[in-house]
Amino acid sequence: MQLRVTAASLALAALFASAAAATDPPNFDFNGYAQIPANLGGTLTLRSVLTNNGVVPTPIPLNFALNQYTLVVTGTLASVSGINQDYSPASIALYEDAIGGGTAADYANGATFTDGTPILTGAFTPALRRITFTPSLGSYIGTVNFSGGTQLAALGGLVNWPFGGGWSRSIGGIPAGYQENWDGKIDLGAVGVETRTWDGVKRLYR
Amino acid sequence: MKKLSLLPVAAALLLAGSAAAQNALIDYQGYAWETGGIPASAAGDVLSFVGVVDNIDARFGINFGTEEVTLHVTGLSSGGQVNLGGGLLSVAYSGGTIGLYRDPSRNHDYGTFPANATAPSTFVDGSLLLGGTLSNFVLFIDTTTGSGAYESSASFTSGSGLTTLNLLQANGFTFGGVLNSAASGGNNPAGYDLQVDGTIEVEVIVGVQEKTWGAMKNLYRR
Repeated sequence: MQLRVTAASLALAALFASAAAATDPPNFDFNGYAQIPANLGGTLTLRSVLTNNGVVPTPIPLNFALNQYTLVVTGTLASVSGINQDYSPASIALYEDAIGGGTAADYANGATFTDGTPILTGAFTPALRRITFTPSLGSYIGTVNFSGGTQLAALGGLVNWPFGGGWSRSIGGIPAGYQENWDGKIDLGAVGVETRTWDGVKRLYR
Repeated sequence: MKKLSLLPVAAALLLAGSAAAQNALIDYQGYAWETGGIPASAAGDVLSFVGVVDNIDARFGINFGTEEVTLHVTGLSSGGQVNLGGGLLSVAYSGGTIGLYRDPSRNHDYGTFPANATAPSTFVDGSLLLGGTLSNFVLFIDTTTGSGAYESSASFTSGSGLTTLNLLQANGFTFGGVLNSAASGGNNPAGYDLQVDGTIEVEVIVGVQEKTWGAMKNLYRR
């Protein structure tokens, strides 16, 4: 059992490594709009759509021909320090909704972003940080630990997935009721590695 | 009733001379490098980035099943970084060109340590979709987190995309976020200083055909 599990892990790592060398680094690319709270204790809500569209690989298999994928982040404004606003707790969820028979994401109707199947859910640890460079431009960054969803088992590693991107209030087309366009992605989380001596590795294959 | 409700709209169009249609949005991601690395950004260093478009306005007629659209930005000359305190840097760049290319070979390859054998060459092959210049490009980097953002005005003056939109020239805007290698979890290809993820907005202005008042009334007479 140990040999099969370790071999499987090596094979999986090799699959990721060879895939990374031959194709773009996989990620969950998203674009959407955020509602930003004015005061401490207020709620940030980001509603967005995954935009990989089969062009950029995703960490788990997704079918953009048949489904629309939405990504929603909510967070409580816990502290403000200088240009930094930290949201904690902050949660994240990715949903899959069939294009045929499902409801297309509509920023005027927030429920259309959460009425699909939750494929991955998790939380930011320790917080989601929004950074303000100018009144109309900034960035955001956080680390996600996934803990739920129908596709959780497909992820492999569940912790330390980098989440980041930029926000703008200058770009056109921001829907009514939202203040910012958020464009960013979730990068591939680090894959844990088990340390062994050379003798230990050789013994696995004897 | 119907004729009365249409006349004010028609009159407004005549007075305006042109009307703004919905602007076209283009979503992209990629990686950036600067001569000498960034940070630090020294005056005269040149920032470039290459990327791929994964979402684009349907009016451009792109089929991602059979082609790719790639992005190349270069020629951004650093004015030198400004230390804003607290680990925050800003850099203003002058110049800069932007090109988007549609390519059925779908062969883009970042490689490592650009410029290299495939970058930017595999990002500028194919046919030009949109080409132009950048102005007022500014980049902010928070060195404590490794994250940042940029924005720039753009002027598109060439490419088949302008023809598709029935434009001779289009103003534009782009913004995006950046992460250094550590902040991205080590996912940046080796030799690239930053990952970029951004949006381009292409302003679409619709021309209006002028008519006399008599001709306008004739349109609605039955």
